[in-house]
Amino acid sequence: MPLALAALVLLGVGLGLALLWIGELEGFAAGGIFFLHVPVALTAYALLVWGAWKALRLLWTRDERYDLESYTGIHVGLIFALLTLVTGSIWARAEWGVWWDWRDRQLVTFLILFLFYSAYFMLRYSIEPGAARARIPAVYALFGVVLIPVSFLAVRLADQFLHRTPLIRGGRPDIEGQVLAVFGVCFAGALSLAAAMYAIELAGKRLDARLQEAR
Amino acid sequence: MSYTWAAYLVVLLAVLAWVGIIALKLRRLEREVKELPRRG
Repeated sequence: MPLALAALVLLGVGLGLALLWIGELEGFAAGGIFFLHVPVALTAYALLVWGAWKALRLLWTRDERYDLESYTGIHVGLIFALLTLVTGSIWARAEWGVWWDWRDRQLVTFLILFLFYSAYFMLRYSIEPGAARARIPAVYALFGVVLIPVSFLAVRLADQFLHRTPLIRGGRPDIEGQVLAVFGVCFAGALSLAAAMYAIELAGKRLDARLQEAR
Repeated sequence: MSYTWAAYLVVLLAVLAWVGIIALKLRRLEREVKELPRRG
């Protein structure tokens, strides 16, 4: 509950400040989406890395409690990844006049990342419950984590810059002062929301697993 | 409505939908836990 409360307060304050104090970012159409889209995208990356880290711990230690932790990280990460795609699409419509542009490498690599982790669920539930259901998806989750730096760096590796990155340019923050402060509050809010959702989902999945064992 | 407001609204609705789904799931689990002793 403290995490959910922190998320509510931080996101409420952060997005309120973004709308009322900062307004739209200079040089961007609907730049206010930046304060939601970027924190949500970075949180999605963090959750998928967390899921892959727990998968590595599972394979390394063979301790099956990491299975549910990895699964939950990927589950909540996918919710954030879907929100990244939707908010990004709305921003693209405002900025470029289209909902999607296949020429943009960051969009396409993020979509591949999303589809890759969506298939994780199909793989997981196509295996009978037991040790194999824990280990095989864990290996798959580890393969997926390779896509994260590719997705993150895609715009910097690209030779055309359709997808602008106002956050970092030339290794230094490209935003400063009040914009950076409000972005920090929004990012902390998105991370708190993710942590709250992760904790609640994990508690539910653990209870479900114990019930299945008890039956 | 501006695109910024539309994006904020989409995220708000998605979080509310998740809260609804998880609340239903936890209520189902609670009911199943209560039913366990009766099954022996």
